Amino acid sequence: MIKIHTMLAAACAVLTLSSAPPAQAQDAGQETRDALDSVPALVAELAVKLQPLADSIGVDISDLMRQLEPMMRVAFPTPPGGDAHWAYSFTFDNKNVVTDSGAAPEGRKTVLADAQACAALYPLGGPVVHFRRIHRDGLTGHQCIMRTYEDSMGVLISETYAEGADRHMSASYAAAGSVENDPDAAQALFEPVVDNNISLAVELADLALESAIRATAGGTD
Amino acid sequence: MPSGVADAGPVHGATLRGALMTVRSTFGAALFGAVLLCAGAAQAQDAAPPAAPTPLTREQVFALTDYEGSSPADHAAALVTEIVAKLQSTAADLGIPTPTFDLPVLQTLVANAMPRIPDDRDIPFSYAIRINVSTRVQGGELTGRDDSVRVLRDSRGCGVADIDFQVVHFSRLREDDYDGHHCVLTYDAADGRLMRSQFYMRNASRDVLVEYDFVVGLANSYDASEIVAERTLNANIVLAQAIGVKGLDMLKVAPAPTD
Repeated sequence: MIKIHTMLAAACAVLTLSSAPPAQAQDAGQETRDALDSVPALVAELAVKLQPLADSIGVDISDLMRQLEPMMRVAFPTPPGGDAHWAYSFTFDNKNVVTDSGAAPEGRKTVLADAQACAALYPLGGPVVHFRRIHRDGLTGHQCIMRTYEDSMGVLISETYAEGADRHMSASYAAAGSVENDPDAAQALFEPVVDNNISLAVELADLALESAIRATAGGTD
Repeated sequence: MPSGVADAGPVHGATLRGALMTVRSTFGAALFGAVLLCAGAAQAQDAAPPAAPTPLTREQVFALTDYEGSSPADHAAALVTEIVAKLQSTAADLGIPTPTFDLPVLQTLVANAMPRIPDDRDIPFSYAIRINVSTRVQGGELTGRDDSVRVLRDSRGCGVADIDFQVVHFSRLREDDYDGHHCVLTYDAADGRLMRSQFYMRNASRDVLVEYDFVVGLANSYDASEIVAERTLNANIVLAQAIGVKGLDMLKVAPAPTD
């Protein structure tokens, strides 16, 4: 059996923002403005990495980013006031595997049937804040999103997997917000944007799913 | 009216529970038994939601009036009518004009939600759908809802005591100043496989709760019940959420109560 693995889009954006050192501390409003001012550059960076994904589903990257940029902006946390050292980052990647023989590719994962199964598989991921089964165009799978707080960091992780007769796909999204040495402040930073990060994770997973549905063996998509 | 609500100030709301209706027909060579179950209680307007889901009984699912000879399309049409009637009644209780419905969209959602068996198999089965829409609008801070209905931030609160269930869908909901959740469980009920959906959203002074139960039963065959139910599970989740969103839309435009 000849298998062709298509590493698709491998989009990965890591966005990190930290406050100025205490000597240059700014008010929270200014920090927020500074953070949001940097969003266009980060959007541009993400656009480059999402280009293959957009191409694979026949969507103009500009149109796609016009849709995603507002979602990214609201996924950004509001920086804490004072001289706290804080950071926010997210990452996304996806992968399609398609065979040209029509046979099932190697590397299958488990399709999770429910939120409990997800929690059991990722015991460190925290409570399941979003779960859906996926049944779409011959693909069956799941998306599970968890959120946890540990020490001074909040972390949201999305794991999406779906498989069909001759293919499978996976997509991951993770976002994290932290405030140095201050767990309460970290939660206050991250929790207000959890829902918006969930929405972004769902949107990106849907794009990856669409790409997997259209993927062809040997294609560049 | 729950005492907590009565103490909290003016309330107007609606809990809609319709009459029992069964649709049963012959569909090709197979007996296509369909039940549209809209079970409820009198005095429902003020009824608090149940503390935990109650599996449907055999009597609720099967001991109902038959409508012989109707087609699957008739079943779908009957359910569309039921849903529209419930939402119209909700609107009336909320004191807002009768809402408009995109009927083709609703008809499509309902048609997709109808259970079906593989074409090459003759399996008699029944199904039931129970929909309950409950809204509350208060002049002050919202109180009085049973503690079992609260905004959930993760799937752990979706459980049903003493039942081996699966949380097959969970989403946090937020719109304007409303927070909420949509949680969907499946488990084995008295006569088949049950899907139970709870859509709940609230702000400081008003809330909407839409409970949607969908059960598919095949006598002595839970496995087959699960297969049949699974084929339309997502469609029923989508339909349940659509009804919830419509309920929220109506709630948001409802006038505040007056003393």
